[in-house]
Amino acid sequence: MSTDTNLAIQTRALTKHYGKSGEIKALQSLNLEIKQGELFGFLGPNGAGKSTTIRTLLGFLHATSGSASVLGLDVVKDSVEIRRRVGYLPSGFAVYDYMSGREYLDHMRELSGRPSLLRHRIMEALELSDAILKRPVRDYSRGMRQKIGVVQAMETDPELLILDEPSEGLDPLMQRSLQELLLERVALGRTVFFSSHLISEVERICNRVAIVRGGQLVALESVESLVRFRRRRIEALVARKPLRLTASTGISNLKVEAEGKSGFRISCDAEASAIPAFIKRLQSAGLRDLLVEAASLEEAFMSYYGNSTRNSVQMAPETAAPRTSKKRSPAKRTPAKRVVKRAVKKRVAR
Amino acid sequence: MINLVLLRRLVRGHRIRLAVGLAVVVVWSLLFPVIYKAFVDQLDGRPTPPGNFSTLSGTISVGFIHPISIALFGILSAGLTVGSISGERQRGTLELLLSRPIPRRTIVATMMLEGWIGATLASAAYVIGTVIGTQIAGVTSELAFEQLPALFAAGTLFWGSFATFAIAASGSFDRTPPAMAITVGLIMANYIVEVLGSFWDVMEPYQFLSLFNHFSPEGILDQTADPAEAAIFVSLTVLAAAWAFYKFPRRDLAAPN
Repeated sequence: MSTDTNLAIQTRALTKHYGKSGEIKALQSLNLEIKQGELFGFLGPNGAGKSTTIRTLLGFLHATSGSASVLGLDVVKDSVEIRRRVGYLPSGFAVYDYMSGREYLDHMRELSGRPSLLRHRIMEALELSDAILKRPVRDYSRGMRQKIGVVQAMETDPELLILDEPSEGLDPLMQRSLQELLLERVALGRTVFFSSHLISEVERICNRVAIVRGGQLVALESVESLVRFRRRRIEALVARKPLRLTASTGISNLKVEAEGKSGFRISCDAEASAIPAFIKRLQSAGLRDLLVEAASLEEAFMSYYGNSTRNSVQMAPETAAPRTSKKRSPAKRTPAKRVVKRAVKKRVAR
Repeated sequence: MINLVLLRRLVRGHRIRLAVGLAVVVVWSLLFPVIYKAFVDQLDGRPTPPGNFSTLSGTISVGFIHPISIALFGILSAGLTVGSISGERQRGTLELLLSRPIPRRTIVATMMLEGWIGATLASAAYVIGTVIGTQIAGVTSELAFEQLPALFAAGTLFWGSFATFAIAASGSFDRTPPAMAITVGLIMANYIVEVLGSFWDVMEPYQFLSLFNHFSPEGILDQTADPAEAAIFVSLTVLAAAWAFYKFPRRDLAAPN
């Protein structure tokens, strides 16, 4: 595979099937290109193929077909060299319980064969004191262990950080500190590739985002594009029944129900651009209470691509990048692809 | 080929098991010369009946392949390696070990070496205990000191081969119980064949199939053992190591459950 040295990660038709006859399709023809210096979010529900992708990049899994490179090095031939230059935090991070935090970090650093350059900086940011590091790891809380995981991944200042759900177990303040640390590394030219369930986290810090589902890449977008199509859930209590609410653009799943004698309860999904106008209408109807919730990843994902992806397991990789996909003759389109095409049209129409 | 940082951590992780196990081996092995002396004293000049306890080397041999010895040596050799890869995998710590720039074969070789270190220390402990026991019992003149290095080497090779088998099993499974079952099964099957062959005529022709049949501390001390039998344990070691070096680097290691 010819590799672009400006790319931190590149996969070409990367496929991974499990089972004796390959019946479990964990990854299907994944194409990704992540530039050096990018902070790249990798989103998807459980079982979507995020961890499989990461594990293939690090050489834990062998691809069924396709190829991948990390920092311009082939993941099969140059696996050891890749691991020398990459920091990794797995999902569900586990430690040797009989060690103290410090012993664990020292051990992992020694195994990496590189000096610790950032330990104190990360410890400070994550509020890890020396006293905590002296305690046995078995006494640590879930969040504390996760912090240790973050330190071991980042302390040698690797060129590429691969983090599998790094915010797991961290409280919101620590999540924010971690995000700042990641932004700091990226500002210094490092690359961060991280998977997450949390769309808000990805929105806040990432340059670009890929969404995987069923082992397939279904979106590869800049964060702005993703946010534009992201919906919010609105619930409101108003005094009077508002007029012409159904006529609002960007509003769907609208429900207006009488709330005893006190007024009306209104619930709906709204696109970000439609929210200000919608709230004005609610105010004119005597707004008493308002809740605007960020859509879950699943909701955002569904609003982005419609319901077609729920059933279209065989969706082709080309559909993952509808803006760049080549025109194909109608005769070659499979029913699944037509479904996706309809979904894309629907999105464009919006 | 060996990662010293990893080896240090492995040994450290097993240090209590090693310390206690080796102490028990020393105590256990020093009992047999004492038992031999008590047995001879009880005979009080009468003709010695046939059997292992009629000679010091025979008594030492009984101690070496006694079920308690097998349990001790097993824990200190194969017991160290059987849960090395599969145990790390089960606990979820293998991921980070593999994320370091260490080839998988180096990990296998280092974990295998730890098993051999255990086998070496256990054999050394047995020999040391035997020497102490002969001093306590006052039968040092009957001990073939010049054969002790050979006994130590044979014990190391015998249990080292099981440790190698255990690492091959450990690298082949995601969980320790199957690896443990296969390793313990191998040791038990060989032991049962050996024991049955000693008591039951029907099984005697098949006794040669047991690895225990080719490990004779008594023969080593009496210089009647065939050194070529070591080739059997070398072969087991080579085959098991080849399997471990082949299998583990090729395995897919999916996310732990």
